[in-house]
Amino acid sequence: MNYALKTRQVCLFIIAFLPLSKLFVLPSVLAKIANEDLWLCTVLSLLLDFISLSAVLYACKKADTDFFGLLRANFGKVGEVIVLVLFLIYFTFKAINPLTEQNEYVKLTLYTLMPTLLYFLPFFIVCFYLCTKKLRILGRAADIMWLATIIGVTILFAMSISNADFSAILPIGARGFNAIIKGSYKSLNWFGDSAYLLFFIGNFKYKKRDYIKILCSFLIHAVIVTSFVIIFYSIFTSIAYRQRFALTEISKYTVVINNMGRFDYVGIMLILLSNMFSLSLPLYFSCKILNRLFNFKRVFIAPIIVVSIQVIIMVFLNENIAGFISIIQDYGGFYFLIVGNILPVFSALLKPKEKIYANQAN
Amino acid sequence: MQIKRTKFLMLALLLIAFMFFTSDLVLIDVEKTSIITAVAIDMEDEEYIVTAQIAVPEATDTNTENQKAQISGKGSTVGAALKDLGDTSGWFPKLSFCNLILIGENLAKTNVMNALDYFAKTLRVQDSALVVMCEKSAKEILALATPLDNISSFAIQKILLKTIGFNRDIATTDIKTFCSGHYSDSASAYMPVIKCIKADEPNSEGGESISASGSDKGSQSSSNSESEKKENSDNLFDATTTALFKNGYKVGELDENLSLVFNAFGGSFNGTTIPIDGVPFGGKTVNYLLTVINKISSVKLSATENDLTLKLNLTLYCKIADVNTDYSDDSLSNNAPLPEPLIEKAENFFTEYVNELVETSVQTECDIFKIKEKLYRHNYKQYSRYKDNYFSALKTDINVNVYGQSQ
Amino acid sequence: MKLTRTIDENITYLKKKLASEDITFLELTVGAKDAVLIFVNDLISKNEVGELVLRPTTLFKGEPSEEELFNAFLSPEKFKRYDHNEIITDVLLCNAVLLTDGFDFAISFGLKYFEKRAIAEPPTSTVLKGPREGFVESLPVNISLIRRKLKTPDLRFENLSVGKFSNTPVTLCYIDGIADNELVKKLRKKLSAIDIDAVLDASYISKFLGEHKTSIFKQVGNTEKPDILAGKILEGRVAILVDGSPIALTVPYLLIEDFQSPSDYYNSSYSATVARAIRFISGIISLFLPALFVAAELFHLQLIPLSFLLTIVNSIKGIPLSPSYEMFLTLLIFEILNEASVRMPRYVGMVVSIVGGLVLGETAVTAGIISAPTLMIVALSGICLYTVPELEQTFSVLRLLFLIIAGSGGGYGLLVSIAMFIIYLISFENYSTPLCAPFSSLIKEDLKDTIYKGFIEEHEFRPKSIKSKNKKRMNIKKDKEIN
Repeated sequence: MNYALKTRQVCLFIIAFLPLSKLFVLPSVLAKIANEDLWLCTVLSLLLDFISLSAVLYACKKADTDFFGLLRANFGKVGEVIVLVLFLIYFTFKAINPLTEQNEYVKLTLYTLMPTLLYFLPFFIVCFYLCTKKLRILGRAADIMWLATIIGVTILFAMSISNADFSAILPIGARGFNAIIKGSYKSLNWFGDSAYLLFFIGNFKYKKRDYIKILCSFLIHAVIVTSFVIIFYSIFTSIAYRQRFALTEISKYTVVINNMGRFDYVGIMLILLSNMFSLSLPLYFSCKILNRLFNFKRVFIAPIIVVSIQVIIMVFLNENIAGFISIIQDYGGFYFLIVGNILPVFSALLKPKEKIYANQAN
Repeated sequence: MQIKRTKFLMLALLLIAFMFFTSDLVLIDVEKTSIITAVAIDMEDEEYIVTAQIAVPEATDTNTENQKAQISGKGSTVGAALKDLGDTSGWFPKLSFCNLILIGENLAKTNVMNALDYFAKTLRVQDSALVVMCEKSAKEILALATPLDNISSFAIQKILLKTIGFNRDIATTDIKTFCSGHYSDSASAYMPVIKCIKADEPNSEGGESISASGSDKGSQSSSNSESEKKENSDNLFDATTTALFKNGYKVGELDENLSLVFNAFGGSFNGTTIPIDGVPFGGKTVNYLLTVINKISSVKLSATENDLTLKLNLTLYCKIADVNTDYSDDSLSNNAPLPEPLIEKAENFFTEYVNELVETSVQTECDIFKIKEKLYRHNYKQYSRYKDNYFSALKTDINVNVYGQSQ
Repeated sequence: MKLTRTIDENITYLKKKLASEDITFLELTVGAKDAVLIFVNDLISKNEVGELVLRPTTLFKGEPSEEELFNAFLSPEKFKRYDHNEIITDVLLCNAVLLTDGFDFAISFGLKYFEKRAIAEPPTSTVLKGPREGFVESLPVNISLIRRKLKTPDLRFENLSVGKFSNTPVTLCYIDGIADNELVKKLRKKLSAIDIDAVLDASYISKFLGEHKTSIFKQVGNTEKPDILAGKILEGRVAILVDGSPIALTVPYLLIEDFQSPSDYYNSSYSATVARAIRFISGIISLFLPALFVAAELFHLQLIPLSFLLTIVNSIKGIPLSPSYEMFLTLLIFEILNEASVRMPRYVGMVVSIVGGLVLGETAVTAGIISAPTLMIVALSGICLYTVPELEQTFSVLRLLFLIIAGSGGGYGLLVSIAMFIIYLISFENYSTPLCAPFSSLIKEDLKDTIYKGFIEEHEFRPKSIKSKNKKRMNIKKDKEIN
């Protein structure tokens, strides 16, 4: 059987794309809720993802078909449609927040002279283009972009770590369990990434001990996110919540900046480049779902639909997007929890196609 | 299909090319942008006067030095004053390169955070910009000509950002550090105070600016004339004193020695020279100059139910840089041990000033040692007990050791 | 159409088909039989025709048998032909064909001869160390050059003919046992399917071999040096040689090939790695530097260090054009000069370089039309472009494209276009081989011959990026045992 992905690509996918959207606004949102315990919120959310990822990997191990095939075999056509629609809604809403963050980031930090949505809209061309590609290309993108992510993050870490006072995260847990839970709940739409991995089921050859490799990649991603959040708080402490974009902020206090200009922008640009792929992921998997549901003949129809919806949201909610996101964060948390974390856990319970048909035959 | 797609792509490219050839017209290009290198904020009649020092492109020849211009704007907030500055000059005020913010004496009498917060809030300013308080009007300091650099803000930055090999005698701070101090639980922050020193006999009034625009709204002047430069080129700067702030208000000042000792508890202190005068040696008194070659310092807080102690440990490894005697043995060599009386004198010097530093901090209630933060982070169990009275309950345990290099 | 035993019928037919005046029908007798020797004037070796064909015909007495006739000629290259079309092709391929009355076959002699360029070092890939011979326009010479490098019975040459009017001989070259059979079969099929008037150069063929007809990137590798070709064949590639072209095509093609130079394999790994890193960085600089500079000048001044910004601002003071127009214009001038210097005779080309580089550049800066930093950026980008000469044309188009995007969309626009560029590159496949291999798909075993040039023992196996039947190319163990 010819698999679209290799285990290595799944690992690199996790390292290259999953940490990025968490490096923009999330640290300051968490700092506002949980102050020095912000990293505990991150760890809790990552733990949830770790559990659901483990379940997805178990599903990968025993699956003899892809995710769609598994759903069809276990729940029938109607059941499959219902689950897929749930995921479609999930991905649509999951995309809004990071896209808005990116738009705001582009407007406020890159185009200081002429902030306009127009400068961000070309991103959707990339998004569209990627959505027309097969899973194999996503794997290849991970093969290349992990390097950009790692170099970018390393530059930022190297330039910021000397300014960090790591005692800032003490005392651990002083803000109380409630703050940690609240922070974690509010950050659910940045996490829940194991939903992506569901679509890799049956698309790579699961070999013995692959779960160790994939979980190790997840741990690397977790270390990147947690260290970033800790460094961010250690630099800004009492004013961390006032820093909208952690990514641009953490590295600019280094002495190199005075001598060489914003050298850290090399790292930031690499991360932004990688993040374009990362931002496209919810839309990419939405396309896969739409193609499954409607079986479009032409490859560009699903991408057009998915991208148009996001463009409409961005354009029409341009001024009120902050309110919209706050509604998503306040009321959508449970939905994100259910679809992003709990449903992937249940994937472990799905029976392989072969077994079901064998039982039916009996 | 491929040909069709390529035609579509060509069309898109044509569109981009169209944008390329038309978008330029609406852009604020580099020539319309003012590269603000420093901002001076003063207060007059409840209004902020923001003076921006702008690097002015003059030369096409690289050997010619950059020139500056200073323009001022007025407004009820700093943002309004900056906008006014842009409106009246036709330059788009670009603050990305603003690495220095000067606070005028009058402004320091009010809550400085009302002005500084603008720079901390907006993303368009580097909050790594240095903050410094002026002895007089900030605008006047900015307008001074100095032989160090023909752009005074660069000269001031040179003074503030002394690197290895220089005395670490200036308590340099930037907006971020100042704001995080201010917004911390103890609401304490500090910044250096800059003053102008005349290098020679003054030939013009101290601090008088030839390029100052006065308080006229939007007025503009340029200080690039050679004669003006000569007249004013003898101004030097000193920033060895430090202003202490509590809740945004200036509550005290550390003198030269206290600032030096305060820095000893901060980052790198290597290369700093310390004059130790009047050391008895061979029946006479000798003046020494010590150079710090390594420093180990710690500020720790120990809190129990009955006791709150601030433990300040300072260990300095020094070598003798100079001595005012003709005693010609190897006392100036790198490995020479420091004479016992010198060590004693140096230790006394530091102990005395560390004590005074703690006293100043307690008196002004400016928490320069971040006691409350340490209480919260490292002694959280006792936090509620001491959080409101930590200054009154504070005891100190100061331990200063001075060693020669080989000891 | 089969030959008949009556010579007149055959000659009448062939004269109709080969009516051109440069084709000679030389009438002679072979013993008691009439015969005609057909050849293209001036394209055969007349001495050899005399010695090897005409002299033996005079030795016959009476009527020769079929066997006697065929064996009488001493020419080492002779074939029996039974079909008119075969004869026509042979004559057009500059062979001499002898038809004899009473026989239903003709004898074709490979006695072609024409003026050839001497074997010389190709101007596109000069080396300091290593072989200097390059391919010429003659296919047999090129084949001999390859055969001299690879003296193995497994080296295969398969001859085909392409072009309705040109009938250009095209040779497929590979090593049996290394090259993938599927690839050879596919290429054979593709070459046979080419229906074109004429093949005047190998590049005609390369256009047909590419699977993405509108691609800006080339899809078939090429080289002018037999040593490089031999190296590529040994890695499992298949070469296509075209008569009349000094360029040999290789398939499959990987983008990284253009960052490799023959000298890398003749120098130490250290210097090769440094040289490749420089080429790689230069490639990136040549593509993105003008665009980045314009984006920074127009949209993101904060990216430029203050001291450099002041220099830029100082130098652009008074320049009538905006940074993007200025860069566009300078690049355009560069491209014009480049085009002119390539087209012009060499001695005039020197003048163009001097006028363009020194006079135009210097005076434009002095006159305040172009700023010095812009000129420097274009010059740097231009020089960097030539460190990867194979990609020069592609990169100069892309450079302009990126500049236009950066000028209208700034840094983020540039990032968007880079992302598109990356997706385009990684989705690009030719003959089931990804263009960006071994980076994407990542093949870590092959990374030792990319930017990093590994030591000899690291090249024990053939690259995995290219399908091959035999993976091992050297036995390191033996070497280790001796040491």
